[in-house]
Amino acid sequence: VKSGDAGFLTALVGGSVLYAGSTNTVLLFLRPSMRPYVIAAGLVLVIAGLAAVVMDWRAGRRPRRRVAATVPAAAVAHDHAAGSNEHLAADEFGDEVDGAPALAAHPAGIGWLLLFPLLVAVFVAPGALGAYAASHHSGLVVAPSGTLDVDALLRAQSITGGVPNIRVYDFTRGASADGSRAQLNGVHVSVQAFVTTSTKTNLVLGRFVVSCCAADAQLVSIDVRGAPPVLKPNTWVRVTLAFDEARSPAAHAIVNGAVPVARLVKVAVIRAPSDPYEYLWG
Amino acid sequence: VVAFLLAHPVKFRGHEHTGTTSERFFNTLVHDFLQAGGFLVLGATLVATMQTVVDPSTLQRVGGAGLGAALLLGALAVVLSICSEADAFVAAGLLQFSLTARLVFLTVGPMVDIKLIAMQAGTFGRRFTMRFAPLTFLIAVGSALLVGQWLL
Repeated sequence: VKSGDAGFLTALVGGSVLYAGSTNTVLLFLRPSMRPYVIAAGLVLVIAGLAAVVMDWRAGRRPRRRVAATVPAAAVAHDHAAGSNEHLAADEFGDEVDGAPALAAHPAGIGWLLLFPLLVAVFVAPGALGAYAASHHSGLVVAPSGTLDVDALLRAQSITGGVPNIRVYDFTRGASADGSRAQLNGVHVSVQAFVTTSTKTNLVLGRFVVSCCAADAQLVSIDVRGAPPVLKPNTWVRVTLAFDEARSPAAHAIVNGAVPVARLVKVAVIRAPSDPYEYLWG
Repeated sequence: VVAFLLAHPVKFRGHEHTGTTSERFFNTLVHDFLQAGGFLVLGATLVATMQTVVDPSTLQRVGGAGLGAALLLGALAVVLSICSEADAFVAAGLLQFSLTARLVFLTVGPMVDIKLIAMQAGTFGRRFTMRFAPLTFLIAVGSALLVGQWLL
């Protein structure tokens, strides 16, 4: 791969990263706090890639002898033997002597693989993890950690007079600790989630919890009982519900991934939020 | 660091780029990025496949303590390649395993995993990685077991 092509490829990847970072696309994959780093990385790649393209073009117009004069003779000889002026990554450990891996011998060659995720992003355009991922979720369960401060919730409710909005993850935390379970029982709270399954008597809500990127997303769910409208999977809803301690699995079972049960109070269909995940911290 | 020193007896040699300083700078930057990025794509593809094929919940049901459980969780850390910001939350969920086994999971995870192995093979060569990755695995498991024995 010539330096010009390598520069072009780098600028292309950088441009895509920059595009994802400056739109909400980045939120499908990463925590919102990563956005500045994504944009900065995109800028660096675009600048470096374009610089390499321009310099390759200018070097191409310069007579070859001047280039050769600036490097040690051994390096030039090696370059000629290799047929290009790319460095051999495996050289550093002398591996080329005893048979370097073919891929490592052409450092920029493997770089073309970067086009693969770009093509997937353009042609498949994967959306946020939703009901399909939830129904096929076989991953490890995230253990709800720490306790939910139900007192603070109740205080907020008595001051504002409204129903407190909490995360599905917080609801699961409240339901999975013996200390907060009894206190949370019957308290009206409101959550935002997507519909996993829906029948005339059950509405199972799901939400993915992310700690740094979508690759580590873990599912949290609430089984809402009552007489809900039958909704299509993946519909986003805001649901007012009350934890039903008597019908829920035991606290330790919820820690292990069992789904807590709640009584339905009110359900409203909403637009999908721009940040589809809940975040463990920050 | 120990595994790195044990695994590589060969001296470093400098890069061999031609041109002016700024040409060398940008060419090296672009080449290093493309190489690391390419191997990262390769590694991520393998990880995504493993995460789909290997069902960790069956492992979770096995559970246990002792050396077997520690090695099992060590292997799981390599296969799942969960980033080190997320693995504590997963380890907290592995209630069926002993604390020492979970410490092994947390220690091995950031040191050896499929995507790191792919990137090491790309940067240092395959032979080096074949020495380096298993050594790192053994040292990570060993030190986690020692600390677990002593503290947990």
